[in-house]
Parts: sequence; C-alpha cells; structure tokens
Amino acid sequence: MKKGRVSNQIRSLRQKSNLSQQELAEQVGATRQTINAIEQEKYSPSLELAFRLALVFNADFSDVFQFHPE
Amino acid sequence: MSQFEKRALSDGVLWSVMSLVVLVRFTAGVEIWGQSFGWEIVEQSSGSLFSTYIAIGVIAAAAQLIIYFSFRAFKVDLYVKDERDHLIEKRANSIAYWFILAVVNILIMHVLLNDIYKAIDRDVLNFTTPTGFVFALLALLMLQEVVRNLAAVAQYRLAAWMP
Repeated sequence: MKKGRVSNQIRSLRQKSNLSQQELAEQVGATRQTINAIEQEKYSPSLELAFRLALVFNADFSDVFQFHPE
Repeated sequence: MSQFEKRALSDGVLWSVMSLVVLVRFTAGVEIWGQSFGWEIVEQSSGSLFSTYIAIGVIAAAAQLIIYFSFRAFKVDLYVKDERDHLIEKRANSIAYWFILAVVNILIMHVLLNDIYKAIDRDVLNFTTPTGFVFALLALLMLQEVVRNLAAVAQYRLAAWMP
C-alpha cells in the first residue's frame, strides 16, 4: 500500500487564535520544536496529540488535519 | 533545537572525542599532530591497561558532569521530552542496536578468519590479546554511543525523513 500524506492547518489556526508556538506547545504538552515540525508537516503527531491540538482550537478534527492518499 | 537534541549533540561530540582518545591510546600506524593511531594494536601491560580503563571512565564521567552542569547553568531542562523526542530516541536506540549487532558479527568473523587463514598479518587489529580485547570492547561501547546520538541528531535535522 502506498503511503499517504497528512497536511494540517495548525499554523493558520494558531495565528488566528493569536498563540505562539511555545504557548500552543504548553497547552498540548509538547515542545515548541514539535509544534514547528508539525506545522512544517515534517512530523505527523500521534492521534492523542492531534486530538489535543483540535481541542485547543475548538475545531473539528477534519478541519485541522487532512489525509491525502497517494 | 529541543533540549533533547542539544543533549544528543553534546553527547555525540563527547563520545566521538572519547573514541578518538581510545583509538590513540590503543593503536598505532598513522601519525598526525604527534598522535599515532591506525590498524596496529599497541600491546600494553595489564597494569597499564587497567589505568587506561580507569582514566577513560573518569574522563567520560567528568565530561558528562560538565555537560550536565553547563546545561543547568543555562536553565536547560534535559529531561523534558515529548512524543517526538521519545520516538526519535527509540529509533536512535534501534539504530545503535543494529550497529552493535553488525560490528559484533564482523569482529567474530575477523577473529575466526584471522585464526583460520594464518597468512593474515597477526598484528592487524588482533583482538585475541587482552589489549586487543579491551580495545575492542571500549571502542564498541563508545561507537555505540556515537551512533546513537548522531542518529538522534540526524533525525532532528533531517526531519524530512520522518513519516
């Protein structure tokens, strides 16, 4: 099976919420570097962290993360 | 750079330097800047071997303490890790394990083939003497740490490799 790609809207949602990467990281229990890696789509978070991120933005999971099968 | 990455980088540098110290202390061949190292193991007395072993342990422990207190001085918490740090650490440990597995098998084959085919120069990395054996184990321990830490740093730096 071919690998898909996961994209996200973390950066735009974070900027709309007026949060810094550090503030967001503290809210979800991650490091700033991990938030940065997720925003750059260089790291796909665990399901738990992904849900925590969606909860912070009070958004539907699918509005935050999208899966693109290739 | 995350705290864990900084720690991996400093540990990687430390164990690389320690590997060089071991190489210079135990081997000879090429001479650079007055230090000789290469493929030939320099035989040492048991007393000398023991003092080298203790000295390397003390230097490594002192260097670790210096790194630890340097980070503390800059208020860097070395124990803060999140899921990405844990994943990277796990992969680095796995890479170090496969490295050890490969090197141990190469060492076994090297010793066995050296014994079977006597024509091979006995002085070239002869691990059957106490000096050669101690060198092989110390070098292996240190190279494992080098590989583990550099693998961690590489995963942070080359994050595009991550799934």
